[in-house]
Amino acid sequence: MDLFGPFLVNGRAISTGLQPQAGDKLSVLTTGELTALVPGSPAPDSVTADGLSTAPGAPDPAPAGWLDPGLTKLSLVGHLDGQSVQLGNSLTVLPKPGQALPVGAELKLDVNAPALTDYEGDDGWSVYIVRTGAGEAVPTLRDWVFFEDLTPVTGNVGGIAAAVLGQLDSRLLDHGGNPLRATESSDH
Amino acid sequence: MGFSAVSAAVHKGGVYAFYCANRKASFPEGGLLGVLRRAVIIPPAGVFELFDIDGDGVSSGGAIKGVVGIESSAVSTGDDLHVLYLATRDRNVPGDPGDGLGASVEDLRHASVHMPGPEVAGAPYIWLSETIDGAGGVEGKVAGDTGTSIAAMIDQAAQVHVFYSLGGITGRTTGGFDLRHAELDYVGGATEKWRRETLDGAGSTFANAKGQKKGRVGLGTAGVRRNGELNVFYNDDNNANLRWGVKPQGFPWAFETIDGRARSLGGRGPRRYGSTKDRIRAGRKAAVKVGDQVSVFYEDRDLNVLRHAYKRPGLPWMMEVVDGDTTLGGRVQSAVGKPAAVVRGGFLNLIYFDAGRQLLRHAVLSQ
Repeated sequence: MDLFGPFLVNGRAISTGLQPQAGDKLSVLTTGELTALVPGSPAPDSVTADGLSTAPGAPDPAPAGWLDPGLTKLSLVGHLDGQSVQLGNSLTVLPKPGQALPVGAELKLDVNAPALTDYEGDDGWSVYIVRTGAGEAVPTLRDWVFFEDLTPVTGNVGGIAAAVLGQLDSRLLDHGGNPLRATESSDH
Repeated sequence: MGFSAVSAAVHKGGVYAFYCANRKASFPEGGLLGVLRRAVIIPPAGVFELFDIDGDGVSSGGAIKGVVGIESSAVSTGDDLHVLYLATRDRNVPGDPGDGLGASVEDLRHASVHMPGPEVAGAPYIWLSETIDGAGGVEGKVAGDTGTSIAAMIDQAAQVHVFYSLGGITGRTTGGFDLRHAELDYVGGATEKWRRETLDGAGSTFANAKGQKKGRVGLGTAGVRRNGELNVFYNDDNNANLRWGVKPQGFPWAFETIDGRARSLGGRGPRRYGSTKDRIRAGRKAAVKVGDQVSVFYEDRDLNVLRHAYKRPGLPWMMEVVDGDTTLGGRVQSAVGKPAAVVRGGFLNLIYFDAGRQLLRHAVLSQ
């Protein structure tokens, strides 16, 4: 198993130095936002590596004239020996079922955008890639799936301690030892 | 009295919290005691009890009178519940400024109770307490400022380990500011059951250890066991770095700087993955094992964001910003920190404080 990256993708093709071998699997973990002004668009778009969508869960395919027509507009794409691979936000494992990875060529990462796209700001997508060889177990790479505010706290918090108790999810205690929240069990 | 950190442990189905509480003293000087108090919630009825353990001179065998428990860390070994904590005033130590609480000290103390079944409300459990480091003595004890940045954990054999900071050494202008380790060794000497040692900060002190450095280290500790392997995280305060010590079962300690100013893989700016060149805050970290992954959460002092370093077998450390830098995916752009982490049902749950918006926050990592 080998780790490649992290890489920053923010407009130029990125060489990863990774040349897949026969039987390899690639776990691509991505986070962050990219701001891009596509020629002809009235305003820049800030997107995750999933790119643009026409509706929630409905990727917007790029037309001719974009780097990879048919793949999602302003998404993270991989290039391997002339083949284009759709990547995206969070975790993508390659090859996808029924597909094969080209062997011996270097993987490059890029943004699916037309030429003359203007990349604004200093943001971009961060990418880790784990290569797993033939016969090795693909590692479980984890990503954040949920964030929430819990409860207001006045003043300074000296420290937080958390514990799991039976049916209770967690007990959180402030600096005076007072329980702040106890929630019923819920499987995430 | 200022703030008191709180520690928690689950023992025989009950959840325990330990913290410092003020109590009016009975002695004539009229000072305000700081006692180590434990709060417990006992299932299934959820009975809530409070009980003092130390600081009042009477609540446990070996109790002192003064101020204790401003920092603590607790673990259960199965039948015994242990809490390691800081003593900052001791009425028995000469040098009382006039409030009756005794001289200022910084000692590491330990209290434990044998409780082989679930706690019974109102039952007279016998707690025992003792000073294990900081007051000088034999068997590896130092005379100095110990007992801050406490991280307790148990090993594969259910023996208690505690990692803590040594500040200055009494009467010396050099040395100190190290990471210390004490192990409750039940098969040790007849008169001394704790074994103490300096792990890092004093240069090469173990013949077979790798990576020990000389310098100011040891604040903001956190520890976690993965299989038989002990992992401890702490600050290198000379360089505002995150240090990692690891001791696989049957092998010597190895120490390494894994993030902070000394690293240059990531750097500041748009990268959400990779290491940082920023300063790592010397506050308490949270370390946890999820599956076969070791995770540690810590604060970027320059950007006020919460960071996560994680290691899987066979791979190098991977790092990311968790929250504080973006609104992506429910995150916030706000000063966040003070992490606590637990694993439940295979999911890592992270609880932390949003100081910018004065809120507690919660994040969940995929299984």
